[in-house]
Amino acid sequence: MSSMNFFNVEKEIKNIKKELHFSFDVADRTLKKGSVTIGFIYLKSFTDNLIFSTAIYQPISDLNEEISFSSVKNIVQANDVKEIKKEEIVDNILKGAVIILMNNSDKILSVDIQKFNARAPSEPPTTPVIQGPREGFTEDIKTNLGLLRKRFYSSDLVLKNFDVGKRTKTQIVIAYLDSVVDKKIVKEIEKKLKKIDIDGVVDSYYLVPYLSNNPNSLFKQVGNTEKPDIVCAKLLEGRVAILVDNTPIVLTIPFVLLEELQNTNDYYTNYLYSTLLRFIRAVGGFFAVLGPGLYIALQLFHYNILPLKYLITIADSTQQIPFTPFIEILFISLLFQILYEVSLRLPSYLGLATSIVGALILGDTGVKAGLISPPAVIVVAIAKIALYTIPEQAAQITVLQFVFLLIGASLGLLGLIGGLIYVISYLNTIENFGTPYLAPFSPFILKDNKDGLLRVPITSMKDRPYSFNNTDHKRKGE
Amino acid sequence: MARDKSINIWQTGIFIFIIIFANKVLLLPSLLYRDANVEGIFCYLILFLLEIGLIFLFIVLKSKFPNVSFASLVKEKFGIVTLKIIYFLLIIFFLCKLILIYNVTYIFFKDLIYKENDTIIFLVCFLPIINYLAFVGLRVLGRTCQLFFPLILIIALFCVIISFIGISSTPLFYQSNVSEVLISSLKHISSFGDVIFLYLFMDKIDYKKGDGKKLVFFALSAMILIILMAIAFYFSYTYTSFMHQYAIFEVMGNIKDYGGLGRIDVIAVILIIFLTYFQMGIYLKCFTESFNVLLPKLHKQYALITFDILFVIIVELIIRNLERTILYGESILPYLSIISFVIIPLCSIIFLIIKRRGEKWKD
Repeated sequence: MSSMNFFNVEKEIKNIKKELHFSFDVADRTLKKGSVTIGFIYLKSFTDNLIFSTAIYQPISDLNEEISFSSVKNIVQANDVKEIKKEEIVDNILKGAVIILMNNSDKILSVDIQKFNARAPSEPPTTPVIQGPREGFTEDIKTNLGLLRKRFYSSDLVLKNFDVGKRTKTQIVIAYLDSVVDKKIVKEIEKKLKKIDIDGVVDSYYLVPYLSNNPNSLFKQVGNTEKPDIVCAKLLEGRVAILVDNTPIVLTIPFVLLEELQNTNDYYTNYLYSTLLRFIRAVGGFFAVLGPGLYIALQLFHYNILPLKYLITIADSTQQIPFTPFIEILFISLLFQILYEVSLRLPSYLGLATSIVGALILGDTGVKAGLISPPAVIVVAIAKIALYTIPEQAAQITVLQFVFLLIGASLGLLGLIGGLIYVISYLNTIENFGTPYLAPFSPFILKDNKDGLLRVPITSMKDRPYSFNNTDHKRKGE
Repeated sequence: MARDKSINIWQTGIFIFIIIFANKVLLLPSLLYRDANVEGIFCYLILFLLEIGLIFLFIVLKSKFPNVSFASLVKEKFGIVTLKIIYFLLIIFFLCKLILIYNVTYIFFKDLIYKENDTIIFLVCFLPIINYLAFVGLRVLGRTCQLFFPLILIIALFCVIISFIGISSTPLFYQSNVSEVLISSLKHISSFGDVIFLYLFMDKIDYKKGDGKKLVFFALSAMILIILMAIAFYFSYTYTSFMHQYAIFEVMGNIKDYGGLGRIDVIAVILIIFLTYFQMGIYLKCFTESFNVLLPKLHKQYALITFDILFVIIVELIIRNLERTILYGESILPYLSIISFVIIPLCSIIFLIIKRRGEKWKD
């Protein structure tokens, strides 16, 4: 190799700094050992300065033998030491590496000493468990990958890295079990990820529309979770997980609506009890969607089909109300939604005050003042509480609740059932990665119903889901 | 979107159940009693035999021509003119059926549920939904019916079983003679033979050897439920059965205070709504299929637009009350039922004979 290609360290460092727009956190050091100049360049905000001093700078500085690229590479005390190309320098610096340049070599060394600012894995607020693991993903992808790795002491777990976002170059990792997953699904996900043209990925949700076949649909088509044990279970079923740096939310694909009825707790408790809970969730979801609409339809159109006792009760409590039943229900629903939005954004110490104002003062006083009727408050309250039996679908159910309220008020029972048929038909049109959205209910897949609305004991769950393709459907036995 | 792909045998069976059950549980028991007294049950039996015959013929035809559409068979054996005539008649048949079902349901709901004469509500409810069901394709329609089927079946079973509680006395048999039973059967033949939809979707049904039993099972289940319900109805209202027009609703109404449940007849209303939507969706799908065979170059949305225009005009201008609807169902539609019970079976038998001769000739 001719000396023509060797680095002019100072000049090279200046060029790199220029490429990084002389940002204030770009740090550089030079070390002269005889005729050899060694240059270090890194981001001081993003690298561990102590490790830099003790594991890189100090050992090189103390080196007695002749300084060469190989001697430097051997003396550096770090896990991730690699030789990189010149055009990879900036990318590596931005990912927390120290770049080492020498004036007697044309090779470049990158040592990853990214500062680890991650919080410790804790129980995610969105998926609390009564029994079972309490670990949750964090915002740091390395921690998250570690949480996954420690659940699979097997080479079967494959992790593939991607950078997405023109400006953020966010690290995205897809994880799957090689012997189980359908490779077509993996390829399709890879293809979709590579095609993403976006300037930045701030959260995993940014990827969701790019991974869905119906990106404008109201309905969620990609699974998400904050818990490593859930991801582990989904990988074992033959699904693919997508981890995104800077977010604790991990995406899972393929996704079916049934997953929303399932809960982590179901698998850590008695199977009969979890079956009962799933029925309750289904009924809760159903009531949340249709409850207010049904009440208004019965009151406005079909009061004659109500049993006399109920009719008298409702008539008694609504006769003094100045609003029409529709306005009344709409008002209470909107009030609840406002209180919900406020309680989300208020500091927790104000949350209690909001609840008191909302539930006691507004609700109770509203009824006493004759502005709203008790049955309407009860119906809306039950519907709003029932909504959170399936908390992952709360957004979708809230929208549907308002739509069905409108239908119930304008078209009655006929419209409500028609609307329900329309929604189900629409859901039946959704297919992502070859997976029918309503599987295993429609199309009906008997084996998958062992973990559908019913849940059989784990000993009887011998097959992986048939709702989507995987290469090995047998969990147990031959 | 999954459009117009094939449906499996279970979904086909569910279609058969819905079509057979839906058409015969509301007005028909009362009308049959009016014409044939309690022997109306025999009308059911006679016409069900014909319906089962249609299913058997379909099974044989499907086994012999597994992936061929009925239209291409007709075209191949009888020529394009016959094809167009048959499919034109089918279009008329399904349009008339849709109008009849709509009117019956409209009158039922107007009398008992809505208490209003506002047809707009009914059109706004039915037209968009059945248009959507017909538009999204057979597979989506099949899957939707499959999802709701357990609910439909449970309600239907509940209605039929619980209707026996209302039985108060036994009606007298042998009040009508054989000719009255036969005439009554002929008069109400239009409420039967709906399983010809199978022929229209012949190439879109995944069929394996032995699947025929499943189809017959679904058909027989629906038929048994209908006969049981008719028995419960006649035994509940005996000589006044002809006055109670909406059988399934009336038998439930007869025992409405059972077990302190309140008005359980509302359950029958929910069942009728589901059945009507699906039944109309299937018929409209048949209409668009026939339309596309008649005018293959036109996109299927034109079939839906044509249907909507014709439907609204006929429903709004011509038929608006129960008497006229019944008259229409008993006078015009039986002639069109000739398609179910004569033309389609005849064509099928000819295809099978030709096929058999061809095989013999080869041997």
